[in-house]
Amino acid sequence: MTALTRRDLRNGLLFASPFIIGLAAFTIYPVVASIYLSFCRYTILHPPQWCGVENYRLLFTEDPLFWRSLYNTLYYTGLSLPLGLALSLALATLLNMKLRGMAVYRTLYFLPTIVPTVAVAILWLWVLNPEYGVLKAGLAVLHIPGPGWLADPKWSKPGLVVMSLWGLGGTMVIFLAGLAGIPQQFYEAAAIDGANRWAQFRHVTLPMLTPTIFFNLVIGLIGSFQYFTQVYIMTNGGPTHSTLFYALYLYQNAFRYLRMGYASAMAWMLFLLILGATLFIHRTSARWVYYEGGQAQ
Amino acid sequence: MRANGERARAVFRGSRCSPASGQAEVWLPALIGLAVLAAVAAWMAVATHGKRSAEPHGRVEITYWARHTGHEYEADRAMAEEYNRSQDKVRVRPLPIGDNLEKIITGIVTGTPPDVMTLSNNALTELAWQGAFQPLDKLAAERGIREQDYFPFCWRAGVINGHLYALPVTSDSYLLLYNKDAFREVGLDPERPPRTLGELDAYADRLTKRSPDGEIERMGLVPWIMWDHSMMYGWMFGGEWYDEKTRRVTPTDPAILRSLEWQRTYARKYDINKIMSFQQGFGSYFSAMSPFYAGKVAMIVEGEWQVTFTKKYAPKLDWGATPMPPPPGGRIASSGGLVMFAIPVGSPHPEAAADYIAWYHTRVRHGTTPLSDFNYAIHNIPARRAAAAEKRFMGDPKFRPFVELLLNDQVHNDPLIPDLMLYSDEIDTSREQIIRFQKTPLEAMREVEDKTQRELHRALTYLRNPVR
Repeated sequence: MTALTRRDLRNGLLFASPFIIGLAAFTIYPVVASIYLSFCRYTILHPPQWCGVENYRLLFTEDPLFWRSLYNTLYYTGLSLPLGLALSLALATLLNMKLRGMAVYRTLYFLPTIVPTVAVAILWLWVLNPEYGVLKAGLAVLHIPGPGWLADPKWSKPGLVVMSLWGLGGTMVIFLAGLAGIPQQFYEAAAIDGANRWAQFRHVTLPMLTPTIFFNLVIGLIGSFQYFTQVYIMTNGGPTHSTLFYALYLYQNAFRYLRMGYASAMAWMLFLLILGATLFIHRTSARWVYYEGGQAQ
Repeated sequence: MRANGERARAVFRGSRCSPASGQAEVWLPALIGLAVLAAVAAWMAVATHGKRSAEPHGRVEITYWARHTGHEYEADRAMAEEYNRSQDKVRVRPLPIGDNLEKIITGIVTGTPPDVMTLSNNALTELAWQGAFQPLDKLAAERGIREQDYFPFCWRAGVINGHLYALPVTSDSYLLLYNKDAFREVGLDPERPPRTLGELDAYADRLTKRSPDGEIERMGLVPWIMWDHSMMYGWMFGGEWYDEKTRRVTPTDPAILRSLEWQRTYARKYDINKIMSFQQGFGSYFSAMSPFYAGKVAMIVEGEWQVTFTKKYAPKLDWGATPMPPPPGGRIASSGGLVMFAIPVGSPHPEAAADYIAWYHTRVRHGTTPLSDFNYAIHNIPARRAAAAEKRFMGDPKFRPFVELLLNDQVHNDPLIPDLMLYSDEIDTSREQIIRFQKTPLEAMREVEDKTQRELHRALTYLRNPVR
């Protein structure tokens, strides 16, 4: 290393030091500490006590709620993620048409995303109300008796999935950007070959959008594994644990039952789960994600 | 353009400029960043420590984290202000923190707790076991605070693992409230509430009203509206939830199982799904649309604050109150919540804090104590006998029966165990599973017992071996 590069390195680190200090103190240290704490009994007020793999053993062998919360989370992810992707893609395609006043429509569909999560949650408590909810009224017009939604263990998760579709705006905007990036000549070429609208969508739009779909899939997956705020406000896990999501149960263990060691173990299991799922999607992506101009990786 | 680029690079490298100015330019941004960090840290230190140790005009300033928020906090703050006016040695600075476990724990662990605080009894139980509070045995005795001046239920709630950790301020108790107009409507004598559990069930049936298409229009009684009262019903049937001697939770007590079975009869008789969607149509608890005010339930288990709430939200409602009628072999029983004073570990001024608590509890001005005034302002039952005996509480025929439950020692304490939150959450969820016929009372309570006992054992072992 020459004197010059050494000085560059030093200066670079100096410039980045406020960030590095912050990252080390408020992110890296707690993350590393949580590895140690996951092998301890720890109530925060009382010093941590080493207990080996006990927390992990309890998680897997003695705590049905761990499995229940995992099941709830996977159920929600499996339902809301594909549905959300499909709908936001459909919406983006519609809003990509060259029509007058399209900017207004785009804004309208994006608006709900701006509303803070807590406000949305409170609002949807009323939308989903099985007696007076607007959803019940809407279904009644179609002569469909509305279910109990959040009052009914069978319908509480589907209710939350319906609610999640309200916040499609963010995903939709990313799809819109992806759509704008598809060169027009592909469509012209396809049209010359006699492809109709559907064929164009199927064979041009969809393949060209796969990197965007991939991105939205991974981000959506991570987001729904960490699903917390809505259930914390709306149901607190009920009725009968049907909306006890992984992150909510983790929080309850940490701050309600003061089992910080156990909660740390849960956090690490969640980390491994998300890591595994993301890696899996990444591995398969070579088969279905198409990058213009060759592989991006 | 090129010259500009060169210069920019030169500035960033530093080396191309004159040595002195180059060094300054490199260090400056980093120094500014660190200075900002330092300033934030210093400000935080001043904000948390500086104020409390500063003694304006030689007065000790003590921080008080109040459990109450909103208009209830205003009443509490008025007491602190009166104290500040009444002497010139200590200034109490109240803050409406609420029952915020995260904040309280963080405050204690980081060595920045308040001098004194109020909190609810279940949070106190959980935190006291963790060693969050200073024992008050000596501080209280020195200031003439004595057990016999309090209702037994209230005093017991502050004694955790053999030490006094908290002094009770407000208390609740629960009675069966009934709508006299609904009684008249179905031909029941409004001055003769049910006296046995059998009578209660019969009344409930008679008061229930359905529309021609079978939808519920009014329920006579739903045992779990507005909250889960499973603990109270367990006691009412003669059961106990915890055995202090063996340190075991006892949710499979046969009396408790019978009480859950009784709750389930309502789920069976009126169809749990119908009740659940009926329940969803209830308006806000703090409004005229609350189910009891709106006539949607004719009988309900409720607390003493309803004496004032009904005046505010349902002034035309004609209601009476009676203890929940027990089954044969049972007893009149109520559960109850409390708000209590405690002094956290690390409190900078425990003596001044204890002085404030003592003043709050015992100082008589214009014929009454601050504790009494505060309870009157927020419509709770004073934890001290003398205060509750005042005319404004006992003299009110509607309020009196709530106080009588405390006088007769019919209000039971939640088990004073380190895992109280877990235990009560488990009971609540199990009750839900039972009334939805997912589990029998015995199955559900066995699971509760296994889980809670295991955690309790673990907690007690952990707390017995302090490493500190």
